[in-house]
Amino acid sequence: MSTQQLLMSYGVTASSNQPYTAEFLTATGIADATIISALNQLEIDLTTAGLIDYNNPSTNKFNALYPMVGGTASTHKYNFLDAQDTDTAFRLTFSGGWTHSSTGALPNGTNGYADTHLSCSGNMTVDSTHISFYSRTSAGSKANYQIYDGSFSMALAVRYSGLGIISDKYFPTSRIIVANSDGQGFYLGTRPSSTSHVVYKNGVSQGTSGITNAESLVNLDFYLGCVNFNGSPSEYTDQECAFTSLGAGLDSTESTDLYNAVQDFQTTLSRNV
Amino acid sequence: MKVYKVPNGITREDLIKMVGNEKSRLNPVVDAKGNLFISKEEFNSPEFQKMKEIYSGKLGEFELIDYEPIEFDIITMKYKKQINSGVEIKNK
Repeated sequence: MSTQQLLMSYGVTASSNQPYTAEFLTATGIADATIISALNQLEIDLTTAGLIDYNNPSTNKFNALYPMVGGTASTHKYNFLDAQDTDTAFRLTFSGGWTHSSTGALPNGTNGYADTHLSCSGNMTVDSTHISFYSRTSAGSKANYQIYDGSFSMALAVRYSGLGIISDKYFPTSRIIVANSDGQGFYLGTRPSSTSHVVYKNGVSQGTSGITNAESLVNLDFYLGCVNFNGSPSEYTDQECAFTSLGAGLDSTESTDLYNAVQDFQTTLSRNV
Repeated sequence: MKVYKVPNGITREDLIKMVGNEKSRLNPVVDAKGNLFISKEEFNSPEFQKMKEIYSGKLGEFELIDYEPIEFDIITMKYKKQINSGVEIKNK
């Protein structure tokens, strides 16, 4: 039985929107048929993979998931899994210079960032965390996310100038740095356990660290597009974001499933790289 | 890259109070020379016309300058130069 047939057996017709998609569309006012189709399929794919469950959201593998569709700050700001215009729903607050378009959200690299209002220690679980980022920019820049308090660091840089991919989880000796000549693609840094830290590009493992973590999480919010250095934004990037998520650790199967879902999503929107 | 230097007499606090039509905010930051600046995107954005109406020409003009970032070494996790104004960044 196909996914569509399965849904229809539960009374969901071909013209119905998936529940998270329906809420997101109501919040954003998006009416574009291609975007609606892409969002519905994304939700179906993530649900089928067991990464989200509308009826049991506590099992979702994401705290926040930003599909970056609609082409404006007003539509890009919403968390797909809790589409409310509130900080507690992890709605993005954009600050500084951004360019919003149908292909995503592009910070200017000098002062553009967005506060997710998602606290590392307040909303995540130690030894089960991930950051993902779909980059449409090839050139190197700075970190796409980093929280840093002077010792603890959690970060993802898809192509840090002169270095390449950087993933921090959560202390210096477990940092992964991998050379990267093209910043475009889907990147995922994940810690599914205390002894595993992996970074993926386009679903393929690029580097691992098996050093056992002994760190606790810190109470800093994730800033998209810069470093949150003890509450101060700094070190701004200028890489275009077409999807990003923050959440629980993902194993290799889940990482592959997420990549496939996101890449199909981007392809439907004709903005895949 | 060019950015707009904020005139003397306008503080970071003055600017961050303003909220754009889409609830976005200004983020004035300090460059390596200690200049408080905002980006061209912010300066030219229609949602911040109010800011320009209030300040530009009254307390001085926003001056277009070259952007000179404060450099950070992600390996040592230290800033190469410390600027003690605007957004405070302190090395541990």
